[in-house]
Amino acid sequence: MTRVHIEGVSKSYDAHPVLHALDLMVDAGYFFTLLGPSGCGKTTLLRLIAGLLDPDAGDIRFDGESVLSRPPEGRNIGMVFQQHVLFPHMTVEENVAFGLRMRGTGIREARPKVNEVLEMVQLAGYNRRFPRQLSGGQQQRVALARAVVVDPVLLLLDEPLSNLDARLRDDMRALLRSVQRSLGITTICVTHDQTEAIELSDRMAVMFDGKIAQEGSPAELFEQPVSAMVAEFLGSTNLLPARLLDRSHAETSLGPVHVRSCPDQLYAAQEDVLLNIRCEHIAILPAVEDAEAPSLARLAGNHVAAEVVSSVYRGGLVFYRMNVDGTPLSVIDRSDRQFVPGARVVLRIPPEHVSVIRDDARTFSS
Amino acid sequence: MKRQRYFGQIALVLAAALFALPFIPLVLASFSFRWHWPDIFPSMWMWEARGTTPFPVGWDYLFSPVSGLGPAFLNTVGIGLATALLATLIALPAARVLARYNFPGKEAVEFFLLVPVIVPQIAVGIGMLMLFIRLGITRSYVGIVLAHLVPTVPYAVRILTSSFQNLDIAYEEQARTLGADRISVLRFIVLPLVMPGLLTALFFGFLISSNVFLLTFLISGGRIETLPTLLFQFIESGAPLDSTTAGLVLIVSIPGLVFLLISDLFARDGRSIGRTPVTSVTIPQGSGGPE
Amino acid sequence: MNRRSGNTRAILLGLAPAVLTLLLLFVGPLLLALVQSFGHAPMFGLQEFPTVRFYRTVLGSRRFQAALWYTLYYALVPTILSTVAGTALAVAASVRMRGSRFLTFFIRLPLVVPYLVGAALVVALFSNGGLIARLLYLLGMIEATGDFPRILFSAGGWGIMLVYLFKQVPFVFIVVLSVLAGMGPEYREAARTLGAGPWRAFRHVVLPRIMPGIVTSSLLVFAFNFQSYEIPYLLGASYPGTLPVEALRRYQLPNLQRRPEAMAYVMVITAFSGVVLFLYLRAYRRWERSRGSL
Repeated sequence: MTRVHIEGVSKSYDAHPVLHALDLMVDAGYFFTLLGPSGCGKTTLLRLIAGLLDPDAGDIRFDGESVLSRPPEGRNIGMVFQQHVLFPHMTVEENVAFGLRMRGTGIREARPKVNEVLEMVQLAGYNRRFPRQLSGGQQQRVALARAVVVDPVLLLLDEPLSNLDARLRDDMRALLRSVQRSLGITTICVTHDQTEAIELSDRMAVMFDGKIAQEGSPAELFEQPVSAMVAEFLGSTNLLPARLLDRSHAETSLGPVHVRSCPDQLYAAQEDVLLNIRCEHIAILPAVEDAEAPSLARLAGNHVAAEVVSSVYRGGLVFYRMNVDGTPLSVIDRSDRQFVPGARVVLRIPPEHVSVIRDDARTFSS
Repeated sequence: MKRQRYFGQIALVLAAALFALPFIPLVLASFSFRWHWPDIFPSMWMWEARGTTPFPVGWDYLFSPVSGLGPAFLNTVGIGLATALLATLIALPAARVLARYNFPGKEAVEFFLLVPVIVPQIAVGIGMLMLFIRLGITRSYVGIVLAHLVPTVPYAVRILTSSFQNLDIAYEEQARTLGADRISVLRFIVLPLVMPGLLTALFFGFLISSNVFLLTFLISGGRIETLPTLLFQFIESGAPLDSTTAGLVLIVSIPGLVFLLISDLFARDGRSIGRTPVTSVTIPQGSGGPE
Repeated sequence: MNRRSGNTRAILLGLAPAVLTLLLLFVGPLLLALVQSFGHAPMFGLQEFPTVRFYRTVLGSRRFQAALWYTLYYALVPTILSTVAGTALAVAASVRMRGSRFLTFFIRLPLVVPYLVGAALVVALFSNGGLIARLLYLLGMIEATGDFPRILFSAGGWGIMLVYLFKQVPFVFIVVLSVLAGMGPEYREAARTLGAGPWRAFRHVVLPRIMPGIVTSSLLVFAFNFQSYEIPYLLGASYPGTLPVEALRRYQLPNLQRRPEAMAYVMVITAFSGVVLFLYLRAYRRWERSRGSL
C-alpha cells in the first residue's frame, strides 16, 4: 500500500496553464476519485502521476520518495485507460501477461497468476480469445486484470466506465470496488460522473480549472459543498440566494428558512449566501385544503405551498419542477405516486439538509 | 432488389470475362511455334518444332541466355527490392509525423508528398536525366533506384500514414505503464501493429518499381534492362501473336499476380493481424495512376 | 489534449527524409527542366537566359498544336468512358453476392500489371492480323487483313485508348467500390423506404456519397493519360505523336542547341495538365458547395 503525495504540481501546454501549484494527498489503500468537468486538468494529473507527462514544477512522491526521475515503466503502477484498452494483436492471456513479461517472467510461469486475476474479474477460461471477440465490458475487465496482475503499488483509472452502457457500468463499478478492496491497493480514479465518484470512493476531490475546489468524503462533499460550483457539479440541487438572519435562519424568496447551523467564517462575514437544498431531500406532502393554501406559504417548520409545473417519471423516481410563489424548485421524489402539472402540494424542506454556502458568483464579482 | 442483384451479377461476370479472356490467347501464343493468319489456334506448337529448327523457340528462347530475360528479371527484382525498402524507410518517419502531429502547413506537406503522383513523369524524367548526368549516375543501379523513389515514396507515405492512424498512441502509453521500456514498446506493440502497413508499403513499392517503364528507360540509357523495358522492345519489334512477346507478357505479369493473391489471402485471413488488413484498402488508392 | 503540438524537432526530423528526397529527385529535376526551357544551357553553349524563344518555337509549330489536340483527345475520351463504366460496374457489384470476390479478382488483375501488358494484349487482339480480325474472317465478315479497320497506329487512337480502358475501368471500379463498401447498403435502403426508385436512390443518395471517389479516380486517370509515353509511342500514329512522344523526340535530336525545345515541351505538358486538374477540382468544389455539403 502506497501513499501518494502531490506537492505544488504545475503543468502548462503551450503556455496554457492546466494545473496550478496543486497539492493533494492520497492515503494508502484509499479509493480516491478526481471528479471534474472535462478540461479541468484531472486527466493531466493522472498522466503526471503515471509518468506519461512531466510536471513543470512541483513533486510527486510515492511513500515519501520522489518518482519524477522514473519513467512510467519504472513506477510500478497499473493503469486502465478510457479506450483502446487492449492490445489488438494479443490474446487475452498475452494481454494480461504483458506486464509480467516486461518484468522478466516467462509466459508459462505467468499463467497461474494470469488465471488467478482472470478469475477475479470473472473471465476465467477466456485466455485464448482476442480482444475483438469480447464485449466492451469484458474488454474493460481484462484491462483491469492486466493492470493489477503485476501487484502495482498504485492503480490509476482513467474514466474506466465511460465507454460502457448503463447496466454494464453498474456491474463494472461493483467489480472495481471489490477488486480494489480485496487487493487493498491505493487507487486514483478520474471521472466526470458524480454518481460514479460518490459510489466508488473512500475520498474524492472536485476539480475546476486546474485547482482542487473541495476534497473530502463523498458524504461531506454531498452534504456540505463549499461552493455553488461544487454543489451544482454534484448534481440535482437547488441553490437559493439568501441572507442570514442568525446562525440557523435565513431569509429567502420562500420566506424565512430554518437551516443547518452555518459555518463560523460565513456567519462572521455576514455576506449574502446561498442555501443548498438537494432535490431528493425535499419531501412532498399532499396539499390540505385549497382554502387554507395561502396561509401555508408561511408555515413554520420549513413547509411551503407549491404548484407542480411539470413531472417526469424515470425509473422509480419522479422529477418535478415546482413553483413556489414565483421561485422555481426542483424536487426528486422516490415514490410511486405522481402529481400532475397544476396540482397543489406542500413541500417540506428538512432543516438538517439545508446547507449554507458562499455565493461564489458574488464573491468573485466583488 | 432481386432484379438488381441479377443484373449486377451478369455485369460482373461479363466484366470479369472481358478483362481475363485476353490473357488466354497469350498463353496459347506463348506455347506456339507457328500461328499464321487466319488460324484461330496455333498450327504448330513449340514442342513440335523442337529439333526442326536450329534456334530455340518460344519459352526455350526466353529461357536461353540470348533473350536477356535472366538479367532483366534479376534487375527488376533487385531494383524493386531496393526501391521498396528505401521508399518505405524514407516514408516511415514522415508517415508517423503526419498521423500523430498537427502543425501549421501540414496540408501543404501532405500535398507536396502526394503531388509526384500527378505531375507528368516525362517532365520529371527528362529533368532527372540532366541532373543524373551531372551527378554521373545515369546508366547505374543507383540512378534507377533513385528515379523509382519518385513514384513510390508518395504511395508509401499514404499507406503508412493510414497505418499509423490506426495505431492509437494509447497503446504505447498503456504498455509503458505496464513496465515496457521504449525498446519493448517498439518491439511488442508498435512493430506488430504497423506490420501490415509496412508489408503493404513494401509490396506496393516493389510492384510500382517493377512496373515503371519511362523513368527506367530514360535513366538506364539502354544499359540496364528491366522486364518492362525488355517488353517494350519485344512489342516494338514483334508480330501480333509472337510467342516470345506472349511469354514475356506472362512473366511481366507475375509480380502483380502475386501481389493480388497475397492481398486477397490477407483480406480473407484478417485474424492473424488483428484488424482489417490494409492491403485490400490500399490497392484503390494506388495502382491506377502511374504504372 | 494537445500534447501533439510543440514537438517541432520531432516533426522536422520525421518529415526530413521524405521531403528532402522529393526535393532532390522531384522538384530539382523540374526546376532544371524549367530553367533550361528558358534558355539556360551553358553546356550546349546556350546563354540566353531568360528567353521565351523556345516556347515561341514550340507553341507556334503546327506539330505541337496537332499533338496537343490529340493528346487531349486520347486522354479525355478514355477518362470519360472508364469513369462511367467503372462507376456503373462498381454500383452493380456493390449488391452483395456470392463469388464476387472471385470475379473481382479478374477485374483487379489489369490494375497490377504494367501498361505495356495492356499494349501487348491490344496488339494481339486488335491488330490487323490479330485474333479479332481472324474471328471476323472465320465468320466471313472480312476477306483479308487489310479489310479490318485500322485500330492501331492510326490518328484515331483507338489502340491507345483501349489500353487505357483496360487499366482504368478496373481502377475506377475499385476506388468507387471501396467507397461504396465503406458506406454500406443502409443509405440506399433508407432512400428506398422513403419511396425513391432505384434510379432516384442512386442519383440522390448514392451518387453524392461516391462523388469524391469518382472525382479522385478520374482525376488520376486523366493525369496519367495526358503524360503517358510508351503507349502512344507503341500504338499511336507516327504523326502526330502525343506531347510526351514529341517531347522525347526533341530531346533526342542530335542538335543539342534545340534541347530547350524539349524542356519547353515538358513544361507545357506539366502546366497544361496542372491547369486542367485545377479547373476540374474547382468545378467539383463548386458543385459540392452548391449542394450545401462540406
